[in-house]
Amino acid sequence: MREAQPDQVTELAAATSSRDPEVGLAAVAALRGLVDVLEALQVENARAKGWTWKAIAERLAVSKQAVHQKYAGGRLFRAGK
Amino acid sequence: MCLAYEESERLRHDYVGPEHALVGLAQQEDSRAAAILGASGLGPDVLRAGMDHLVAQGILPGPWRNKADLLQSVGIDLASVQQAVEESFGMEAVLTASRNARSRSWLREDWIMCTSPISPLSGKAMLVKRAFQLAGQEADELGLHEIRPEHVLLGVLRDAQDPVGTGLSRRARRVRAYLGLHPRGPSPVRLAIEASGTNLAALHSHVLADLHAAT
Repeated sequence: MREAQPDQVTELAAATSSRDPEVGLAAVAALRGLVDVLEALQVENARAKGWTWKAIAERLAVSKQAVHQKYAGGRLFRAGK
Repeated sequence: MCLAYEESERLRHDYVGPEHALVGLAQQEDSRAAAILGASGLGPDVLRAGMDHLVAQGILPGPWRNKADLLQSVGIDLASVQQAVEESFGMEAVLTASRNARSRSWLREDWIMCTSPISPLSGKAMLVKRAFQLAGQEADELGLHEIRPEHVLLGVLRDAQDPVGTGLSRRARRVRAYLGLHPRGPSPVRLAIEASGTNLAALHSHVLADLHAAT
């Protein structure tokens, strides 16, 4: 990835405008993947710092059951308690 | 495997497939696999040009189809995000979080530990499982317990004899579609090899004969 010529990339970015659903949709999917990782990272960190599921859920604007269901039960989070 | 990964990086792909493995094998110096490929007129340069041609034809995904470029198109610099989270939480935590997030999705991605620095936010889907399974079978049939590059080559060549999507689950098909790969049709490996005038099945038996002669 590091070897690619930067001008080639900008050219491509310009050629494939985000009005093209092919690019736009794939970009959204990539974004969702990134959000999932960041969420997992932050929840894990909060649990390790002793935050309650309720407090985490409030900040994420979801129900505490939702966060708990998604992240509790992972060995990693339990180890952090 | 690292050479295959590098080829995937060069093409800015988000997966490592048998076509990348083929280029990697051709590059592996001092290996019987590279020697046979070279003798058949399939040196690394020829194969790389073949890959570029397949990209131009739209058979392999174009270079914009990777996470970093897609995120760039909506104004997010993946490298900066990665640097920021790694500084706050450390590489190990980011890698674990990526793994956890991916394990909840049907998209499986892996990281190969030969890149340095390894980038936890940009793993690649591994689509070489069938080729490697076949490589293992080839080694077994020769009565060997280790898989050498030439067995991987046999596996890649045997995998390429079947059309794309052979033996794949519904989820694996979905992954291919997500990555911008065609769901069916001849394998890119077959196309690259036949483009240079070599017959796939003949090359497979040639490699096999060479291995039998050596043992």
